[in-house]
Amino acid sequence: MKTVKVNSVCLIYFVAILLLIPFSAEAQRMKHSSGNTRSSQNITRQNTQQNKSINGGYQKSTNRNTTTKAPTNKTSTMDTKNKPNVNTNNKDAHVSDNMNNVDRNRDNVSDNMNDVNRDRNNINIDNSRDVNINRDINVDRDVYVRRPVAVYPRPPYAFGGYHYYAFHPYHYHPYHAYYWGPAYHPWGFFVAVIAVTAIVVSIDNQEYHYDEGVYYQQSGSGYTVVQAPSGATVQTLPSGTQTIVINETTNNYYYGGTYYEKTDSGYTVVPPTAGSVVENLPEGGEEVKIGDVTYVKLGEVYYQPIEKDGKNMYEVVNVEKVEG
Amino acid sequence: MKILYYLTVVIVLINFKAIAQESNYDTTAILLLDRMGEVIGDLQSCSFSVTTSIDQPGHEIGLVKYFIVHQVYFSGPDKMLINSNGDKGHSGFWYNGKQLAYYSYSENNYAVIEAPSTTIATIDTANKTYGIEFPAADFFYPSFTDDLIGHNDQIKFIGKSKIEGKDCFHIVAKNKDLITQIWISDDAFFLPVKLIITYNDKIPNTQYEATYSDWVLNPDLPNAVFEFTPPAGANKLRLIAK
Repeated sequence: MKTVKVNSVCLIYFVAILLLIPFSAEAQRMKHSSGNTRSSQNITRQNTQQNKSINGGYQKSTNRNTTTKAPTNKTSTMDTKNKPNVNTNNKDAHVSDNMNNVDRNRDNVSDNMNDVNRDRNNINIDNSRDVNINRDINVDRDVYVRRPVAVYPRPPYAFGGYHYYAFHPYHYHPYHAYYWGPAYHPWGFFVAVIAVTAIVVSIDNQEYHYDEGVYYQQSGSGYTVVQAPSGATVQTLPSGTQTIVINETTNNYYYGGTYYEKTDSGYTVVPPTAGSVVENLPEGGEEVKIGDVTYVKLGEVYYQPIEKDGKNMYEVVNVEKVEG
Repeated sequence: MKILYYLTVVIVLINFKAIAQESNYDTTAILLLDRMGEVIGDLQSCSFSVTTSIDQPGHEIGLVKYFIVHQVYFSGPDKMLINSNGDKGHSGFWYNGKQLAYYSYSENNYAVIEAPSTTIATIDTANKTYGIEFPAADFFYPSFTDDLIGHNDQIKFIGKSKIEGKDCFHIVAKNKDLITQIWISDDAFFLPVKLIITYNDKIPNTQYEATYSDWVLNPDLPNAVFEFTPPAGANKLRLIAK
């Protein structure tokens, strides 16, 4: 009984004390919590000519209480204005592999970065070198790029929750599509007939026709040029193919927007490696403005305009989503 | 009784905290901010210059300060022109009440997007959607003071000071992530003279600074200046949302 009495006294006392607390703090917060949608009776419009005012006239809460801390819904630019980009450690690009690894369904994925065996195509892309399709990154922007082999010397460009890594400084030059010659056709190009020298390449139950660095798929009464299917292997590459040094033991070969790697079976289509520098981009790219930087987006790959050895070139960008 | 004692102490402390917060918003500071907001809200057009600087990473040696000079023109509730020139290149924004156009003089490329029907809504939408940062935009939000109160734990009037020879009121607002300093002209118009934001969150002590000058109030600005026509040969861009 004594316990019950004490508890009752406590409860009554507690309620009494609560009733004595000025309730204004909480109440005011609630009134100001609607931000842009705050009710009109709470706003004093000071401007009699508000229709012509540059901002519709000054608005001031009539029941403003300086204890109020209203979490407005409106994003004040005070919060976002030129907020310094986050300087991340370059190591980020190399320690967060798991974040960006992609389980590409058509591949027989192995956790072992040096041992990827693509069963369906019976292609072992490379057992001896650091080649692994599973290393491709797939950020929310659906970017498919293999990680760079070196550490970036500069912080990334940060914008919109993504980091854009590049080895070379940004140096804008206008995007102009490049034509590799009469046999070259850009993606989407339609032809009624293809050369008799074209060979058939099958990937994932899809049949492609390959000729002089160009991949076709049958469509209607003819053939449409398509993006090279990753994993396809051909025996020869056309003249005009550019060699890209990836590291001491690995080269990529670039032609018409497609990257290859030498394998035992020939030349296998691979995603570009971040940091690869190419001189020309094919038709089908689009200049996109991301914050202060203008990239060229080709397929799902972002290219940064750069200058190298006095020439205008493009570097494959490593795009990573910012954690947290 | 011990329980009652502790309960009382806790409740009194809670109450004391609420009372303490009341004094965190200096009435003089709020009065000055309101006065500035009222003057801006009464303007039917204006033009001014603003020089901004920002500490940014992105360089091998660390933070670098970038400077940009902007010429800003507002006319009515639905016209805006901003011409920016500095370390980030030369670019402009044109808003005519229907579309917001961006053009880079440095790169000779442009983008045009559909925009809301008022300048403030356009500024807000473009910032939220595309991360476009408009210089001096904060002061032009019609609920600037309320927003400042809403986002800060303290707002204080520090005193008078001189900025580039001009008498100013100095106000400081503070929250856990940043300190905002505002200088308002001590004259008939109470216009913003300087803004400094010091960030404490991601990279401590980085600053954004804006200095305002050459205010012209209610000038006659022809509508044609807010219309954008892409120059011949300019590449069309697509703006990527955040």
